[in-house]
Amino acid sequence: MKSAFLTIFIKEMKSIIRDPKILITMIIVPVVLTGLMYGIMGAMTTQAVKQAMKPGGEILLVDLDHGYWAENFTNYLTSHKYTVTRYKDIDSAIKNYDNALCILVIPKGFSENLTRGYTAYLQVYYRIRGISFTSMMMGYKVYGIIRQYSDMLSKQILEKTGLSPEYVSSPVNGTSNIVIGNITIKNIDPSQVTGPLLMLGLFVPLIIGLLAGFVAQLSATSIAVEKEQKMLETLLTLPLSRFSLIAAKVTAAFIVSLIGGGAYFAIMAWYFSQMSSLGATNSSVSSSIALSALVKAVGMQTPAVLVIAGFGTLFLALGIALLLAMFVDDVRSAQIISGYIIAPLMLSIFIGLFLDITSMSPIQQTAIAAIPFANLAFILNLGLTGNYTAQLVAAFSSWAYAIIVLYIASRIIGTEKIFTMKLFKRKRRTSLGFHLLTR
Amino acid sequence: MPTQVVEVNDLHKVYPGGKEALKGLSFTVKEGEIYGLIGPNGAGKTTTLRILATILEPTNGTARIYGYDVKSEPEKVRRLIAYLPEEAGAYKYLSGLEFLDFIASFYAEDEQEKRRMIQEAWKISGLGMRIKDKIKTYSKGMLRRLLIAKTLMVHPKLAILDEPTSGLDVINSTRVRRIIKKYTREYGVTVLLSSHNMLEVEYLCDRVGIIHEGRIVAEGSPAELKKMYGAENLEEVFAKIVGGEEI
Repeated sequence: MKSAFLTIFIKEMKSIIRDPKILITMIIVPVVLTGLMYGIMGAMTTQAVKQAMKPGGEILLVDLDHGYWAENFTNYLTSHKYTVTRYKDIDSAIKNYDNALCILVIPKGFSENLTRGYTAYLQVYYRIRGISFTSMMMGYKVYGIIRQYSDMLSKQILEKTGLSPEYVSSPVNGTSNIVIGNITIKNIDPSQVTGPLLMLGLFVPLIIGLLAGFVAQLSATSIAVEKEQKMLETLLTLPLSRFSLIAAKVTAAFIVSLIGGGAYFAIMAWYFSQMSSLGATNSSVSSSIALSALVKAVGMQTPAVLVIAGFGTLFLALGIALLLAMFVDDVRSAQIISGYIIAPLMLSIFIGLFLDITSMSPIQQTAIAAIPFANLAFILNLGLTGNYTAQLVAAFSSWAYAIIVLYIASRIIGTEKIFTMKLFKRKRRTSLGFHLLTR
Repeated sequence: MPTQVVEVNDLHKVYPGGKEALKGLSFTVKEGEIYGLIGPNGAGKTTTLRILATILEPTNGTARIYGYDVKSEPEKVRRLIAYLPEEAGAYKYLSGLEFLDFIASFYAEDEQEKRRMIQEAWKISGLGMRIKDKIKTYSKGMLRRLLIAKTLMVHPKLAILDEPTSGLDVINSTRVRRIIKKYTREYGVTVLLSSHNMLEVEYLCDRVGIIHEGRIVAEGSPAELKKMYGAENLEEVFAKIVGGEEI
């Protein structure tokens, strides 16, 4: 025979999967909408960057110079797949400015300046067609080709003088080295370190916060649905332990939330990998070396602490929502009341992200590491400062709170308080069908 | 001497906020009988049944089922009872069959016993092939028959039925009453029920306790009560006792 836990767990999973209020509105729609949003943003950005990188396009040219270098520049454009349409003056070019990339004006004296060794200027007229990413990137494309032409001329000029173009363009340069914790990584692109640091210190806490919201809503719903479907009285007279009841509900809500959260994480990870692949790195250090150095700097335990604290935070959110949902009569009220509590707690993660704990004393750091939810934002910095005691506090304090809250929940469900105590009381229903909730 | 299934002695219940629902309620239910608690709204019927079903705790006094105290030994009591609340529902996204399987899982010792329970409940409910449909598609009458079936299929020592025909039309009420009468006798189930319907109580109950303002004010078989109060039916008895005759 199935245990009481398994029986309730299977029932919970069936109810969640079959209830459109839960499955569609709380999981499928948000995940699909987020996927679509990131998908569209990613596709548009990639397309815009590719379009901007691709040579070619129409340029309206107004040559007021008619000199050697004006002709040379025009030939350079056509040899790089640009179509050049000539106009006598700016006004006529503007009148005919339709889908061209820009109007390029070669002012009088352009060739003479270059010949004499002075800087020559080109005038670029660029029409802003909208605020789309593609439109902005197309503007940079024109400056790109001017830069290329300028570099080419620099090289030719410097070769005549016998000087190295690299030396002249950058007589003084710097190499990027990172010191993080006690570790120094030489010749590294800072983005190779800041990327994983942002992931550990910013995105992971935020994703856990998002997941906590999911878990809270689902667990509150799982208790409130028993009251709404008028099954709680029957359920509490069945020969089953209250602990099995709570444990099964908690497990079901947790698993479904992890699936939903996993989908969110996959979407975000895919989006950020798309975006990072658009930029090139100039580092001489491989990503794996940078990552291993980074792990040494923040401590091998930091990712593990983040995972442990993350799960503790999820169970705490779940327990709080479960506890509150016991004192309301329907799913709607349960979701409202859990939102009132969970939203400020999630906000504390944001506050934690902006709080500089590195200047605090170790005792102060250990004390604030015990603040649930917010401590997720401190774990990375605690690793960097080497305060491992505070990291341990952050890892296990949320578990301690979660166990206390879930214990209280399992005690209350075994008493009559679940029937006699109310946080919200449905007072009356208006003619428009709005529910007025009053204390 | 028949075993006493329910022993309620000087039961008091004060809700948070000070409302006193029970003020020294006492009665007993013997094995195999159908005992009806009748009384006006707010008399304390549902509170009494909820205490016996281990949902509420008495403030004072004792309530025992087969000798087990409902307050200190609720787990033992729950193995002996099956409770049907007045406004009971069921998981609307499960089928009738899945719901019966869910309930039977907590009582059956093995798969064979569980199958037996489900088959019996299927028969009792009279739902036919609709048992495989989602509960959300059931009418009120169908749902109530399913709930009566889930209560009786486990062959409880004591079935606690709060207003078993509440809100049902005449045809469905009659069907539910017949089910209760037939299967409780067949399975040897002792029944404690509450009702507003005097015809129902006269038809079903061996003994009746009239509850008013938290106390039993009269008790006996329907025939004894009618004789005692010189009434033609239980409605007249009820009106004389609770003072509604003048209205």
